Amino acid sequence: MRVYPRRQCDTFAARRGPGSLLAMRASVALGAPLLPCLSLVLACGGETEDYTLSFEARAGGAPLRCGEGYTGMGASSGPVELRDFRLYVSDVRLVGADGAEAPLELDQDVVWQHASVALLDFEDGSGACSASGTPETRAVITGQAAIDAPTGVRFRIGVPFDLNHLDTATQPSPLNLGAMFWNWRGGYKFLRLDLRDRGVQPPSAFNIHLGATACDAPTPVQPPSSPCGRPNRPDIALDGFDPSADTIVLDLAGLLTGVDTSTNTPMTPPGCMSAPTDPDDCGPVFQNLGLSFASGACTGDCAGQRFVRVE
Amino acid sequence: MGPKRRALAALAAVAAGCGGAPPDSTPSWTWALPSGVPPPEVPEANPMSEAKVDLGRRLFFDVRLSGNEEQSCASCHHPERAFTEPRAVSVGSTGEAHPRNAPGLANVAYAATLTWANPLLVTLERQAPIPLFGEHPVELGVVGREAEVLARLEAEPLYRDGFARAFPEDPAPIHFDNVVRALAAFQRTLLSFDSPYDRFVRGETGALGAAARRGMELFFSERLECFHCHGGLLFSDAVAHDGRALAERPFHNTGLYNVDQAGGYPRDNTGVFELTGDPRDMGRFRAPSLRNVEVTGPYMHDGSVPTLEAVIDIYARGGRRIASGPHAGDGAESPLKSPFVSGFELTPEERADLVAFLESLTDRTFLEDPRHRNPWTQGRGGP
Repeated sequence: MRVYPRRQCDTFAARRGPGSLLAMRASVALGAPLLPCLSLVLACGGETEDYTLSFEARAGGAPLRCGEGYTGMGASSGPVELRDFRLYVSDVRLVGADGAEAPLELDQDVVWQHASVALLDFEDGSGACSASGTPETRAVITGQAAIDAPTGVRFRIGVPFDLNHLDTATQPSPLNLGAMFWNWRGGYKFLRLDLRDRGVQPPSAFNIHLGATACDAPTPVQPPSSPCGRPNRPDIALDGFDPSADTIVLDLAGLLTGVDTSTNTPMTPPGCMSAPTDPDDCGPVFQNLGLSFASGACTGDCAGQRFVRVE
Repeated sequence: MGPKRRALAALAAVAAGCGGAPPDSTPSWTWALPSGVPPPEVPEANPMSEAKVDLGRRLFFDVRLSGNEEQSCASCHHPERAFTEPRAVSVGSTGEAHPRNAPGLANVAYAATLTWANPLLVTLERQAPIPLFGEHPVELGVVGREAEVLARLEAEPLYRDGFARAFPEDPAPIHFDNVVRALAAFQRTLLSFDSPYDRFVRGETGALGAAARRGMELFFSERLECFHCHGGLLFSDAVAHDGRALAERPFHNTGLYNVDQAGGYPRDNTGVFELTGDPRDMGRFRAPSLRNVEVTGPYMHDGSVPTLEAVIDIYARGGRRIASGPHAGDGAESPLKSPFVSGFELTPEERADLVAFLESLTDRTFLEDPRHRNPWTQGRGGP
């Protein structure tokens, strides 16, 4: 059982370094100028609780680590090796026993969390993860919510449309990582999971890059003017969740159910990079995320997803 | 004060009301950057100043900075070629061949790591001593002749004045630490963000022709995968700038060699492996920026690919096949190759379109900028 002390208003303010100005500058561009301050006001108001959501990346029962090989993942005999695993989570809400939802106002730490978006990072840039990775890792989301004793959590995997198609060069962290961005038209890789199936020779890359597609920008270097045709942001709903005691598990075994990482459809990107032209490699992955590959929306409420669970 | 600045000031006031830190004081150096380009990181120990940049420019173009007064930095880094040179590999001041091609310096202020394959080299201040003092191979060849080189600088009136102005707090400013600081400051001003591509991104729709626009689609497609390593501000994934909290320092094996069926590279050029000894680092090099790539050939870390068309053909094949000789082998079959170098098919028209897009990254303003040229009007300076 973890206990998180109630943060004092002034220590919260003191924690904001010079970078907070950067965050605010970005907020101006977004038309939400006072967001960082608003959350502060809420935090000062005494109506909210601090919450830390803990995540773990697993391959079935085993912790997911760079370079390690995992057998029994999906339709391949493997072993499947981890080379990168990061994802953006947004629109986090805690749910009370009565079903009422309270948004989790994320701490604006100028590293892992900005506006409503948090980055989770399960690669440490070592060994097999060194091609794209960073040494820092992150397995928590922190913030405040006006709710007592929540029993469930809701969030989306992905970056909301209004933050998804801006210029990474001028966005604050964590929205300025090159490894997590496609281009203005496509926006961010909501989830980046780079794998290598070592069961075949030569080992075969299978990368899962989830992101919005069918975006109507005229060129790759211009943002779309309206939300993308296939938003591809899974809605995750977890019940029976006590943030002080439970962990949110992201399970490779679930995500790869029925996926054959040892093969790739010829003349398509290795694995599934969300391309509408790659239905064979993407179909089962999207199904395991609860998404319809054809529409990019949840099938049902994404309730059939096999990737995320509470333990 | 423009509307944006007013808004910022208002926000700063709000932040102060919230108990936030006061805004930074006005910096003495202003970056002339187009919108969308963040300022580069500058080490606290080496703040920018006009005097330092002027001094660094003089040093950059001065052959007196080499042991035998044969070469300057500019001998291998030519401004009109985006600070590269047409040789496959560089030749040092004493005639020794370097195993590597001279990397370009356009926007080097934003490079996450310096040189072709060194994860530990993250500032220009740490990099500059390598060409100055390196012995394997000898580049500028200053080792053993340090006092002689400094005496040459002392004897130059423009330096006596220039070092004093650049380092006013230093009572005896002519020494190598300050040489390195000035060189770094000058290089941080080598900013190239005014290509037709940039103008197109800034809204000048006529800046790119139809072929370049078709090529841009190909470049950013999942079919070609170019942008995975050559994306972002610099068309390189190894970028650092102000506001980046998480450092990215990627290196990639592109299947250029496979001399031993195990992904091996020629022994004198093994990339990050040379530093780490980790077999997985064999053949891993930094993805160079593609800005001005039209004029930076020959290509690759060893200058072994003569043209852009030849580069594209290698990537289309999913790696380079060398039929015979000491480096024979098929890079496409390398087990160490990046998964993004998986090959693609291009029609001749598509290849021409892709080249047209790459050529739209050429920044003539930068290549012709008089501020980047040899400042010495007579005598000793110059390549």
